[in-house]
Amino acid sequence: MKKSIGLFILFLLVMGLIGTGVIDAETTELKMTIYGSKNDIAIYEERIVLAEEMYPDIDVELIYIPGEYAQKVKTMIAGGQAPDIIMLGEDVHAYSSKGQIIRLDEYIKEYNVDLQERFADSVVAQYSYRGGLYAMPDRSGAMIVYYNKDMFDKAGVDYPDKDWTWDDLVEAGQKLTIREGDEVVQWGFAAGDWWPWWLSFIYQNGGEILNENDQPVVNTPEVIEALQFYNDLVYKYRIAPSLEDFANIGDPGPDPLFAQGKVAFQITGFWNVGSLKNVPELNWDIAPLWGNKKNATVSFGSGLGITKDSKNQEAAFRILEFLTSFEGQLPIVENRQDVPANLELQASDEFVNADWAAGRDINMDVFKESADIILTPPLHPQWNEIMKIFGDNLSEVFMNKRSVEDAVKEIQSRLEFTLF
Amino acid sequence: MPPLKEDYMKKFFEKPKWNESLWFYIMISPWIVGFLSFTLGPMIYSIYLSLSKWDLFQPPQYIGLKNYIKLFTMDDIFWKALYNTFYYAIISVPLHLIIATGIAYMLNKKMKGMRIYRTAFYLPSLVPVVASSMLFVWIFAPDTGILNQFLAFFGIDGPAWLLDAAWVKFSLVIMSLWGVGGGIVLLLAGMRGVPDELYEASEIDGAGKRQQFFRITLPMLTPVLFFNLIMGIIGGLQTFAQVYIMTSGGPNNASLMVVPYLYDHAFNFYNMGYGSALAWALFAIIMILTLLVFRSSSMWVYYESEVKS
Repeated sequence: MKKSIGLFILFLLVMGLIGTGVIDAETTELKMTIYGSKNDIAIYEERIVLAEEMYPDIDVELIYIPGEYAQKVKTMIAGGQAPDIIMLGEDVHAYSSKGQIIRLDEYIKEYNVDLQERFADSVVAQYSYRGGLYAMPDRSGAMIVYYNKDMFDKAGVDYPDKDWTWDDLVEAGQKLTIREGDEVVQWGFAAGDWWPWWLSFIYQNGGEILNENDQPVVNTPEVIEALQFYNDLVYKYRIAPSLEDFANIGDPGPDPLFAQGKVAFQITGFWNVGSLKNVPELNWDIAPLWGNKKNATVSFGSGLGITKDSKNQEAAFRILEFLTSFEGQLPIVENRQDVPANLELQASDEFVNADWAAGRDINMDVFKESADIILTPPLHPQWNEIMKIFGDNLSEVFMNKRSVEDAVKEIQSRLEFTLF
Repeated sequence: MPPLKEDYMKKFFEKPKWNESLWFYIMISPWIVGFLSFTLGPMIYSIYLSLSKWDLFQPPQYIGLKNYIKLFTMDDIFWKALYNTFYYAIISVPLHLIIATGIAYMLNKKMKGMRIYRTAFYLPSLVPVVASSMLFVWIFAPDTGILNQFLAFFGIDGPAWLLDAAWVKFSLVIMSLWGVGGGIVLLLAGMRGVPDELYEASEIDGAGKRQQFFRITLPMLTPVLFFNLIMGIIGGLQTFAQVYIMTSGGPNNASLMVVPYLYDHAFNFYNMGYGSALAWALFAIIMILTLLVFRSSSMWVYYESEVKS
């Protein structure tokens, strides 16, 4: 009897060894780099746990990089320590154009992912390069209008909506800007020198900055008119604070001004929903962006790509496929983190009727409505350089010290020099 | 009988000169090891990189002197950055020396509570650049900043400082004076090292305070001033953090300096080769300037009781 128990234990031990050996041999380990806040990490972890439940043979290690993300990821790749999955933003094509992340099209076919059904076309276009998709859209929220209902009611102005034109914008802005002597106590509108703002206006006017062949097309009447109008909001119609006005209050940007009830409407991303929860007394709602020749807005988000050096690209794709599915994206909504890229989830009850604004009823359909007016910014491999050229030259325009025509001419010639 | 091996060893180590240099190498070894393994290698490699095109991903491609040719003949932003860097260094370095010497002279007086003053003047140098940059963004605010409020008190309508292309460089100069404490400490130590008998002797000869300062204090301080000048030039030409944090080089590159510009190319624009070329060009410029200052030092730096004709 005793002997048989001993044998049985030995048997278990041996099986145990074999068992662990077998599992070790089959577990695929993946490394995934992410950026964001401390809150974001927990949400990614939650989603990874779900993915690992789905694929027990895959083990994903999250590498959180709090600052200088691009620089560190590049160093990892250059140093032969490339992660398998990387989270990407506007610089996605700095990687795709250099073949550092792989085209996902074959896997998409193999795993029967219906891109059109799953994501908005405009978002897919952002992560595509020369006809191939290089990252799975993960989070994607359009920039939208936030407006202060009380201020609009008091001034007797209709709430903003998709049908607003630039004229409506100016008219509302003028009615909503309140001056006491020289001092402005309430601004109608507020923006600044950040590219998503002025780029939206360029696209609303039918302009663009690079054409489909990646040639700069900045020195055009559409672009000049749009930038002139954008600057006029500050210096001609005087409905929005100048860079100097912002500097006088420590450069907080428009978001805090809106939260403090000093601005009637502004354009910003989804993240402001979370911030505004801290000011329950503010009576606000959201609307899609207006247009001139057409409506246009920028979408902010991130995608997930697979590195060329990854040894487990297929396993990595399975993880990406899950992370961008309805179930894989659910924690984004449950934790009130962001707008999920998954359209099914965007249209679902979970997203639309979630208590986003702490008891305040806001029109969450705006994100879905915005999906088809999202412009596709030319996320050129040299995006950072392009943006610096714009920033350099527009900085003086936005200080009202240089004409739009002059700046645009220089931007055009500098882009031509830099991109070729 | 030949002497034992141990005796040799003993003699060897007892040689006072060897003993001293041995300790020198022991003491300096952590730095030497660090320098050889972490700095020298990358430095030499960056010479090669400056002669190639490298985007950090694909292997570097050798392109000869193209980066340097582009740098010196086609890149007007480089020239602008170089001009800004020199503007900043040429104004801020001498200003630092003058102000630091003046303050150190006053802090060298015998007075009650002097330690508190000395601490107070040194304290700002301990504030990290990032923190003081944030502070100065407020100080330079166009209407609400204390600098313009102060000027308004005298009826002066101050400029928009950091937002004004004509004033942004000078704003950085003003801000740099915030860190004058480091120089003060060195100069103060130098002043306290001037032998009292020199002052006593000059007093007997009838020298006034002013003469004493210009004929004794200042010449005796020249080695410290020389050191401060060299460090100031090197530091000034390598300015990075303030620009990066406060202006990102704007408006329209009016405050862009060489190091932020090379950082942009290397880490934001994926032009590591061009960034390396910029770094080496700056290195050469700093090297030449430093050599010139060193050469000139024989004319104006007095060591101990050296007399120059």
